[in-house]
Amino acid sequence: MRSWGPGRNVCRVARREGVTALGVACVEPASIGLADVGSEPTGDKPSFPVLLLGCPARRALVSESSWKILAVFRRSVYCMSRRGAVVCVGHPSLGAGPLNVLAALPRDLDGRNRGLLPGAPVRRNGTMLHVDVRLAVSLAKGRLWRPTPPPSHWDPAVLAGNLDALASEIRRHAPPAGLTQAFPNLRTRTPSAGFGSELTGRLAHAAGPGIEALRTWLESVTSAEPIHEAPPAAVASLIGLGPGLTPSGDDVLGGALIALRALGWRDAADALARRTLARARSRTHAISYAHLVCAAAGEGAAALHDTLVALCSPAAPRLGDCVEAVAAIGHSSGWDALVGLALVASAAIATGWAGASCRVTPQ
Amino acid sequence: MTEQKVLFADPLRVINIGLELFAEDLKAAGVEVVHVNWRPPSGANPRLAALLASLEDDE
Amino acid sequence: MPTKSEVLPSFYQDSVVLMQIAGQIRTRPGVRQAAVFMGTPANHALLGDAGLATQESLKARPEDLILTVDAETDAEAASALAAARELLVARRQAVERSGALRPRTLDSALRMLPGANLVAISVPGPYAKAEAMRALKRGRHVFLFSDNVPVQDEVDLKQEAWKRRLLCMGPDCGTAYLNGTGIGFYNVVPKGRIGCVAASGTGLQAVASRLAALGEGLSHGIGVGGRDLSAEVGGTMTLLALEALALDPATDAVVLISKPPHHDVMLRLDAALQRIPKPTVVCCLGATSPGQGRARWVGELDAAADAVVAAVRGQDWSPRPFSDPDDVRRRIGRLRELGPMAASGILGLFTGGTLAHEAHLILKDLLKGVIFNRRSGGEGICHRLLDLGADEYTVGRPHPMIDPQVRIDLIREAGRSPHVGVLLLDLVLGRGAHPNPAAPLVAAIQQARQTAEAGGRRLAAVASVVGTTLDPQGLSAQRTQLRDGGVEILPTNGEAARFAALIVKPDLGLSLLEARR
Repeated sequence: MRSWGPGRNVCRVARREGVTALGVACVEPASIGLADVGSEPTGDKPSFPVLLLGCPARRALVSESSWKILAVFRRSVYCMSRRGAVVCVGHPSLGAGPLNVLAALPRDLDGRNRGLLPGAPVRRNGTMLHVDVRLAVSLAKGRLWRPTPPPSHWDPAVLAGNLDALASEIRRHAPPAGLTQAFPNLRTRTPSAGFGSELTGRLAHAAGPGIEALRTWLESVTSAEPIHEAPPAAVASLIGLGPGLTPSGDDVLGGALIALRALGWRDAADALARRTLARARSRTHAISYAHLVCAAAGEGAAALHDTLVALCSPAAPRLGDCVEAVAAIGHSSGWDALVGLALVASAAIATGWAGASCRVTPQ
Repeated sequence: MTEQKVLFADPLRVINIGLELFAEDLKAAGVEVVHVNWRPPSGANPRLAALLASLEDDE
Repeated sequence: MPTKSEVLPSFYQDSVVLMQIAGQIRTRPGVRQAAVFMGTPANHALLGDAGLATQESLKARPEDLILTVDAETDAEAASALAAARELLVARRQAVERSGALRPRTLDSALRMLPGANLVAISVPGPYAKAEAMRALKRGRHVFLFSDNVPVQDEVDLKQEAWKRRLLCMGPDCGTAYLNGTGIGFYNVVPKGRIGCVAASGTGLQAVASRLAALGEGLSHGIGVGGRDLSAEVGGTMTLLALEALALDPATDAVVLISKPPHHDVMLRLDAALQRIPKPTVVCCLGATSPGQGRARWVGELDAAADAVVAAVRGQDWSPRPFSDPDDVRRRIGRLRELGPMAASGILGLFTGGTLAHEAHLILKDLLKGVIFNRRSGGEGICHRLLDLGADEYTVGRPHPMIDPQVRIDLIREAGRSPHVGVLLLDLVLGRGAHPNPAAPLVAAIQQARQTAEAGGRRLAAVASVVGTTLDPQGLSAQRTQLRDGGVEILPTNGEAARFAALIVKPDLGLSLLEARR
C-alpha cells in the first residue's frame, strides 16, 4: 500500500500498541452510568473489555439497548440503533473517535469464524454489549475519550509556518484518489499513474465549485470584518461526492467543521453544520452521516485533533506522526479531512485573524 | 376434543440442536435443516439455565 | 463503449479494499475505466459525467455500492464486473457459509429457517427441558433424543405439547419418521400407508424394516420415548399420536409398539385404541391383551408388522414360530451332524434393548435358567441375555450400534468360556449405525470359535438383521458377510431366539417345528 520513508517507525509502533500516546491526553475515567444488572454470564463466550469510548458513542449506548450490525470490517463492526444512532466497535488501532468503542478485540472481525454479518442483532444488557451471539464487549471499565483542544491562544504566523509543513507532507504522501487534487495549494507534484486520473480529474472538477465556495465563505467568516452570510448552497455539492466508504466531500466538510469549532469559530461552525446536515441525510449514507453529525459538534478522529494541536503549536511537534495517524484513516478519508482542516487554517492565515468567535447573522 | 393439527402434510424443515450427525443425515436425505451449534448457557449450570429459560418465556 | 454496472445493496466496505478492487479491475483486459463508489446523488452525477452511469447504477441508494466498468467489449466489461463482484462478495459468502449457517440459538436459527416445523434436540439431559420448551412455545414439534431427563421435566414438556397439539417425541427417543423422512437412528423405508407409534426406537426400526421387507411403508413413525406410558407421564404423547394417526388421511392402519403400560394408563390407552376407525395392531412386549377390542394384540415386533400388513390387505394372518420351518429343520440337522450341542448355554449380546427384551420373553417360556441383564450369577447351565445399550456398558462410550468394541470383547470372552455354546446376536443397520457392523462381528466370532475349538468346544452363532435394502450398509451385503462367517441368520429376532433355543434343547422341535399355534 503506502510506502513510507525511514523514520516513521516510532509512530507506527505506537499505533500498533493500540491507542496512540497522542490521543490519551484527554482520557478520563468514566462512569458509564448504566445500572449494572449484576455480572451477566456470557457462558463460554469470551467478553472483551472496552478500553476507550467517545462521548457520543456512550450517550447512544446508554439510551438504547436494541441495535443491529450495520457493517463488518476487519478491525471494526458498525452498529446502528433502532433510532438510527451509529457506533463503531473496534480494535484500538483504529484510534479514538467520537463514535468509536475501542476494545481489546481480535484483529479479524470479518473473518469467517467470527460469523458476524450485517443485520444481526446487537443488544446491550447492563454493561455488556452482545454483538450477535458470538461477541460480547464489556463496557463497565471503558474510559471516556474527549478530543484534545488546541491552545486557546495561537499565533497565525505559527499556523502559517506549520501549514506549509502540512502541505508538504500532503504533497509527498497523499494518494491520487480523493480531493487533495482539488485543493489548489496541495496539488501533488508527481503525476498520477493509471486510469484513475481521468476519474480523479473529473472528481476534482466536480468538487471545484464546492471547495471554492467553501474557501471564499471561510475567508469571510474568519476575517477581522466578518461577512455575515450562511455558507453558499454550492458548499452542499460536496456532500456524498467521491470514492471511499465515507465520500471525500463528506470528509472535507467534516475536517472543516472540526477545525472551525476547535479554533473558536463557534457560530461559523454552527452555520456550516446547518448547511451540511440539512442535506446530508438524503445525500450520503448512514455511516458518513453519523461522522458528519459528530464533526458538526466539533468531534472527529483523535489524530485529526492532534494534528490541529500540532498546527497551532510552535515548531509543530510531531506533526509528521500526527499526519501519519490521520493518513491511516480509510484510504483517502484522512487526507480529505486534512484538506478541510487546511482550508480553515489557510483562511485564518489569509485573513490574519487570531482566534475568538465571530457572529453570523442567522438565516 | 380440540382440533387436531394435520400431521405433517408439509415437507419436513428441521432445526437441529446438539449432535451434528443428525443434521448431516437429514441433509443427505435432502431435508432442509439448520444446525445450531449449541453450548451450555449460563456457565454450564443447568439449574440457572432452566430458570433463565423459564423467565425468558414469560416475556 | 460498453459500460456495465452492478449494484450491491447495503454494502459497506472498507475504503482500502474498495480502492484495491478498483485498481485490480482497471488492470483487466479491455478495461478503460472502472469505478467503485457509494451510490450518493453526487456520485451518480460524477459517474454520469464520466460516462460510467447506467440504468442499473442509477438504482443505487447512498448505502449501496456501485461497481461500474467501461471496457472495449461487452464480454470484457461483464467479466471485469464479475471479478469485482467476486472479490467483494467472496468474503461475505465465506462468513455466511460458515458463520451464519451456524447459529447458536433456536431463535437465530428460526430467523434463517422461519418455515421450520420440527426442532430436533440432542443436548445433555439437564438442559433438554429448556431447549424443548422453547421450541414448543415457538409452535414447533420436537424430536427429543436426549436421555437422563428428569421425569418431571418430561411431564411438563408433554403437558405443554398436549396443550398446543404438538408432538414432543421423547425424551429418550432415538427414532422417528415424519411424512416419510427418518430422523435420528433409522432404517430407510419407503413412504407408505402404515402409521406407527413407538415407545421404543429399536422397536420402531424393527417394525419399519419388516414393513419394507413386506413391500409396505410408513406414513409416520412417531416415537414417544421410553417412559411415556409410565404412571407419571400418563401416556400423553401416545394418546396424542394415536389421535393424530387416526385422523391422518395418509395412514390406513396403526401399529403401537411399547413395553407394558402402567395399569392406570392402560385403561386410557385402551379407550383411545377403541376410537381408531382403522385396523390397529398393538405390541406391548410382555403385556397381554386387555380382552375384547378393536385392536389386535400380538406378542412380537415382527408379528406386529405381519399382522398390520395382513389387515390392510384384507388377508388372514396368525403367528407362527418360524416362517419357513422346513429350512429351519434342515439347518438344525446340519448343525447336529457336526456334533452334539445340547446342554450348553446361550449368550445373547444385543445392541437393541427392546430386541433383548423380546428375546428374553420368548426364551423364558422355552428354557429354564434364563437370566436377563446380569453379567454374573446363575448356577449350572444358564442362558444369559445382555442389553449392551444399557447404562453400565455405555458410560463414557458410544452406543454399541455405533461402536462394536464392547460386544467384540464379550464374544472373545465367550470363546474362552466352557458354558457358552450359542451366541445370539442382533445386527441393527440404518442411518447413524456403524457403517459395516457385520465385519467386526464376524471377525470376533471367528476368533472366539478358534479359541473354543482349541478347547474342544463348539460355538454356534445365531443372528437376525434389522435393516432394509435401502440402508447405507446394504442389507444383502451384511447378510452375506454373516453367512460366509458361519453365522446362522434368521429373518426376525423372535425366530433367531427360537432357533438358538432349538440348538440347545432339541426336543423343542416338537412344538416349534410341527404344531401350528
